[in-house]
Amino acid sequence: MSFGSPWFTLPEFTYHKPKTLKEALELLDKYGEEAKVMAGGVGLLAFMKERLMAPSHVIDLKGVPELGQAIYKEGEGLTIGATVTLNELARYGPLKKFGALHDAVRDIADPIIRNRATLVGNLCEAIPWVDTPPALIALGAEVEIRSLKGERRVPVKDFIKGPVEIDLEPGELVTAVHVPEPRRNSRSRFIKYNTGSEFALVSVAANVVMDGGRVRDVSLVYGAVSSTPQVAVKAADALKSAEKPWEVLDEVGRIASEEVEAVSDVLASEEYRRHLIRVLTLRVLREVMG
Amino acid sequence: MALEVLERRPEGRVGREALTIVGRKTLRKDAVAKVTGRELYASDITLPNMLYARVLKSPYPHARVKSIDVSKAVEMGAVVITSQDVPQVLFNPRLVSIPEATYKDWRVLTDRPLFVGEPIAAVAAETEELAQRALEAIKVEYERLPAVFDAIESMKPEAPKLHETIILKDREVKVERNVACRLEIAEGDVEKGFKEADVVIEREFRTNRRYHNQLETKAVVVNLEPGGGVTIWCTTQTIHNTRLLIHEIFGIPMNKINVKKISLGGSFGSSIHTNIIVPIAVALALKAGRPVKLVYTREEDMHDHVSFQMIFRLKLGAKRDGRLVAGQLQAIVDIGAHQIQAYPILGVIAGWWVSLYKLPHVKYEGIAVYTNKVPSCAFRGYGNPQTTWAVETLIDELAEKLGIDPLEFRLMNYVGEGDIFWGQGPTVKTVIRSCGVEELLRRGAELIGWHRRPKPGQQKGRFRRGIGMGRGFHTSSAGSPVPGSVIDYSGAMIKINEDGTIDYITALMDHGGGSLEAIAKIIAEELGVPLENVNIITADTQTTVYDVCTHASRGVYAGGATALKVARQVKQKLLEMAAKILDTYPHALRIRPDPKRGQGVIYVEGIEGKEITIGEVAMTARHKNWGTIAAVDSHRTEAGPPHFTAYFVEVEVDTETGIVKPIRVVAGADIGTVINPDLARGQIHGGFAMGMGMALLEDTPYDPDTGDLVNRGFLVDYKTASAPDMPRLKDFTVFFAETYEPTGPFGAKGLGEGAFNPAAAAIANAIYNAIGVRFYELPITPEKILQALRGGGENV
Ligand SMILES: Cc1cc2nc3c(=O)[nH]c(=O)nc-3n(C[C@H](O)[C@H](O)[C@H](O)COP(=O)(O)OP(=O)(O)OC[C@H]3O[C@@H](n4cnc5c(N)ncnc54)[C@H](O)[C@@H]3O)c2cc1C
Repeated sequence: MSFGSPWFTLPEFTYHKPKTLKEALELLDKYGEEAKVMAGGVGLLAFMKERLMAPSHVIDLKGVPELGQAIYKEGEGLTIGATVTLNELARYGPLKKFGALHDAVRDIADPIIRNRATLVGNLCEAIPWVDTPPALIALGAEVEIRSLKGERRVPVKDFIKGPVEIDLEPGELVTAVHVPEPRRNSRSRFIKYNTGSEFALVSVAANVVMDGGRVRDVSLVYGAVSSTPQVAVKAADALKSAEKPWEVLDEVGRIASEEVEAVSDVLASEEYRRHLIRVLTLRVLREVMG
Repeated sequence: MALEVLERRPEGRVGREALTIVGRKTLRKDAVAKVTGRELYASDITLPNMLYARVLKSPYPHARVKSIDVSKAVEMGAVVITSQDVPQVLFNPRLVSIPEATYKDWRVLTDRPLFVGEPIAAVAAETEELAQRALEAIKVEYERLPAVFDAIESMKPEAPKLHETIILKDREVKVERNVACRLEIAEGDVEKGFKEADVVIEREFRTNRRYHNQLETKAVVVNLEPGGGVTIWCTTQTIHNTRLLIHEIFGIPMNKINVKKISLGGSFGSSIHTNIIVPIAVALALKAGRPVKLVYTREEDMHDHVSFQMIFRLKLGAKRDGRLVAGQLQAIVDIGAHQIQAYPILGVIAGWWVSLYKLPHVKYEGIAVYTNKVPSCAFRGYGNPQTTWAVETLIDELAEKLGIDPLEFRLMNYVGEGDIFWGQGPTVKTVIRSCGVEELLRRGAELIGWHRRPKPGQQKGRFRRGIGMGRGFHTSSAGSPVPGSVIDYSGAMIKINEDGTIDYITALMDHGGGSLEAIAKIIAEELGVPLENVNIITADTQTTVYDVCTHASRGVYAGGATALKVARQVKQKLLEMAAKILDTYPHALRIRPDPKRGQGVIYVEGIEGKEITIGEVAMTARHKNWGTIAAVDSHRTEAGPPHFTAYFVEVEVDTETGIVKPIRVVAGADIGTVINPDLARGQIHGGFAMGMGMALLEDTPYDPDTGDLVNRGFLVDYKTASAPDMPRLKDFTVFFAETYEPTGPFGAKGLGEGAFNPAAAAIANAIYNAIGVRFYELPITPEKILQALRGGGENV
C-alpha cells in the first residue's frame, strides 16, 4: 500500500442507521464479524482510515433513542447509555458524585471531540491511553451487553482484554455502562498527566473508602502505562493494612510503580512512566484521603 | 504605548508633523472576512471542470523505483504522471539567492526517492476520493537502499551516498561524503585570540528538527489558459519566484504564467520556496488539459518541510575584564534529502553569530549535510534561534565563570549602534543606525526583578523557580548598500481613484501577521487619508512588478519603504494637480485626513477657502484629461537593519515530574516605530509560544527501521505549546524601545523573527537558574530534567 493512503479514504462499507435497539441487534446478528457499531465515530473512522479495521457494515447507533440517556438513581447509581456524548455527560449534574469519572470526562481531548465522542465509545475503543476506563474500573463500573440471545453484565475491569480488544462476541453490543452508587465515606479522583499532547502519558484513578483514620478499601488504577489499564493490588493492600495510612503513601507509590506493567513509546520511556506512577499515586491519594 | 513612544520621540528625528495613523490601534482590514470564514485560501478555489490530485510518495527513506505500473489507475479514469512525464531538469525550489549561491538537486517526480514522502507519481481524477483510489492502484516495485538519519554518520565514508552530482548555476558539482555545500570564514587570527583569552569555554550543542505547524497545509490550484498559459493559486510567500520556478522547469514564457495572490494561513518559512506540489499540479494539469487542485493533508504536510537541525561546536574566549576576544564556530547542518538553499543558511549562521557579540578574531566553518529525511527549509528566524540558543547559553556560562553579571557581560560586548551588522551572511552588511539594546536589557531586568533572582542550583523542594534571559535580533530584510548574494527588493503600485480612495497593488504577501495592514497605514499616513480609504488589492504576477518574498522580517520594513517611496511619487503628482486647481504651489500644500468627509483634504495652511478633497482633485483630473494619479516603482532598501529583542523569563520546574512551566515573561523589542501595536504584541506572544516549543517540546525523530518519522506525521504525537501552556496574559509584559530607524518607513524596522529568536535561549537559561543544570540538546524534555536531577546536577 502506498504511503499516505491509509490516512485518507475509508474502506468500502454499507452504512446502516437502525431506529430501534431490536433492529440494531438484528443487523448485528445478521452481519456478525463483518459489522462494527458506531457511536460518535471519532475512533472508528480513524481506525478505518488507517485500515486497522475494515468492517463491511457500519451500524450507527445514534438513531436509537433508548441508548441516548444518562440516568442517575439515588442508591443505585448512574447508567450511561451507549450514545451519550462526553459533553452531555459532563453537563449532567449527578456526574459530580462520581469524582474520578467527572475528572476523566471533563478533560478528554477538546470540546469539539467531546461533542461527538461517547463514553461507551471511549471505553469500547480500548486503546491504552484513553481516559475513562481507569476511572470506571476504580469506581467498580459494569458494562451492559445485549444480543438477540439475551443480556449479560461484565465488570469493566474484565471487559477490556487487551489493546483494542474487548469481551464482546459477534452479534453483541454494549447498551450502557453502569456505575454503582459510591460507598459511604468514599471519594474518588482521576489525574491525567500529559504535556503538549491531548493523550495521557500516565493517568491514575483512585477510589478510597475511609474508616476513621484508616483506609478500609481502595482501588488504584493506571491508564496509558501499558496495553490495558493496570490495577495496583499490592499497593492497595499496603495502604489498607497500614495503621497510619498517611505515613505510608511514599511506600504505596513505590509499590505501585514497581508492580504494574509499564512500557516505553514515543511519548515516554518506561523509566519515566514508573517515576510518574509514583508521583501521581502520591498526588491522587493525598486528594482522595484529604 | 506606541503613541506614547511617538510623542516622546526627540524633535527633529521624525522630520514631519506628528503621526496620525501609524502607531494607532485599528481594526484589521481582513478581520471580518477571516472571522466569518469568507476569506479565500488556495484550497477554496474551485474551477469548472477541475480535477483533484493526489501524490504517490515513497514509503522508503532511500530506494530505487525498479518498475511502476499505472495501468489500473488509468483504467479507473485517472490521469497519471511519473518521473517520465515531467521535464528532466534539476532545480532548487527556492529562488531568493543569486544563481551562484543556488545548488540544484530536485526533480518534480523522482525514481530515486531519498526520504519517506518523496513524490514518485501523481494522479488527477474527477473526485479526490477517486484520485486516492487510483493512487492506491498504482503498483511500484522498489529496490530498497541503505539510508542514513544523522548528519555526522552521513559524512562517514561507509555511509550510503544520496547524490552523485548536483548543479551549481550551470555547472555539475560532485558530492563528496554527502556534503551538500560548505562555507568557511575567518577574520583576524583566532589562535592568537584564544591565547590572549583568560577564560575559554567550548561546548557542543544539538538542536531539534521542528515542524512549522502552520495552520494551512500546502495547497495549489492550476488553471490552463488558452494559448498555453497557466494560472496558479498556491500557498506561497512569493508569487513572483513561483512564476520564475515554473518557467525554469516547464519553459512556459514568463508572461503566460500568472500566479495569483491569495490569503495564506501562516507559513513560518515553509513557503519561501515553491512547494513541490506546485510543479506537480502544473505537470498534471498540462497532461490532463484540465484544471487541477492538490491539497496536502496534515500528515503529508509534516512529510514536506521541517526546520534545519544544527550541531554546533562553539568556543568563546574572554579576558578577565569581560571583553570577548575570540570565537570559533563549527556548524554541521542536517538539511535532509535535498537542498532548499542550504548554502545561504551556512552564511547566515555565521552572520547571526558574529552580529550578536563583538569578536575581534573569528573562525567559522559551516557544513550542510544530506540525510534521508524530510528536506529542511527556512523556519522563522532562519537559523538564528538555533545560533542564539547556543551563543546565549555559552555567554551565560562565560559570565558566570568570569564572575560578571550576565546582563552586564552582554552590555559590554553586544554589537550595537555604529557597528557592522551581517544581516544575511557575509555578503549583506549594514551599519547599525538604531539600537535599543541597552534600554531593552535595563528595563527588562527591572521589570522581571533580575537582581533578585536566585543563585543557580541552591533551591530545595518540589517547585524550583528561576529567571533567565536571552537577547537577540533579526535582520529587517536582506537590504544592503551593495548587492549581495541575496536578492532583496520590493515593488508597489499606488493609484488614486476618482472618489479619493487609494488602491495599493503589490505582489508582497501577508502570511496572516498583518504586514500589508501595516503598509496600508504607512500609505494612509503619507497621503493624509483615513485608513479605510486604502484598499489592499488582490493582485497577481501579471499585474504587479517584482517583489522578492515576504521573509527575513522584511514585509513592513522593505515592503513599507517601497510603498512609502511610491506614495511620495503619487503625492507629488496629486499636489501638482491640486496646486493648479487651487492656484498655489505644490510645496505649499498639506494633506490631512478628514474623517467626516471620509477623505484626505488638501489645504493651504492659514488661508481660508484654499482646500479641496483628494477625490475632487482626482475627479477634476479625469474631466480635464490630466490622467490617473498613480505611480509604480521598485525599491531596494540601502540597509538591512537589525531589530532587537530581549526575553526575560521566569520558569517553575516541577522536580517531581520534570515539567517546566514559564510563569512570567517580560519581552522587550526594539522595532523602531511601532506601526501596529496590537499585532506587534501578537508577534511576540506567538514568538514566545514557538520558543517554548523549541526549548521544551518539539522534535521530529525518525524510526531507523521504517525510515519514517516516529510520529508518522500525526499531529497528536507532535507536541507544541498551546494556549493553556502559556503564562497568564497578566504575567506576560511586552514593551517597545524608543528608537527610530532612519532607513525605515516612518522609522520602522521588522519584528516577525526577532520576536522568536532568543525565546528558547531565555527559557534554557532560566532552567539553569532554577535547577543549576545546563542542557546542550533540544528539546529539554521532562525526562531529561529528571535524569539530570537524578544525576546530581551534571550538565547534559
Ligand atoms: C484529536 C483526538 C484527541 C483525543 N484525545 C483523547 C483524550 O484526551 N482522552 C481520551 O480518552 N480519548 C481521546 N481521544 C479518543 C476519543 O475520545 C475516542 O476516540 C472517543 O471517545 C471514541 O468514542 P466514539 O463515540 O467516537 O466511538 P466510536 O468511534 O464510534 O467507536 C469506537 C470503537 O468502539 C466500538 N463501539 C462504540 N460503541 C459501541 C457499543 N455500544 N458497543 C460495542 N462497541 C462499540 C466501535 O465499534 C469502535 O470500535 C481523542 C481522539 C482524537 C481524535
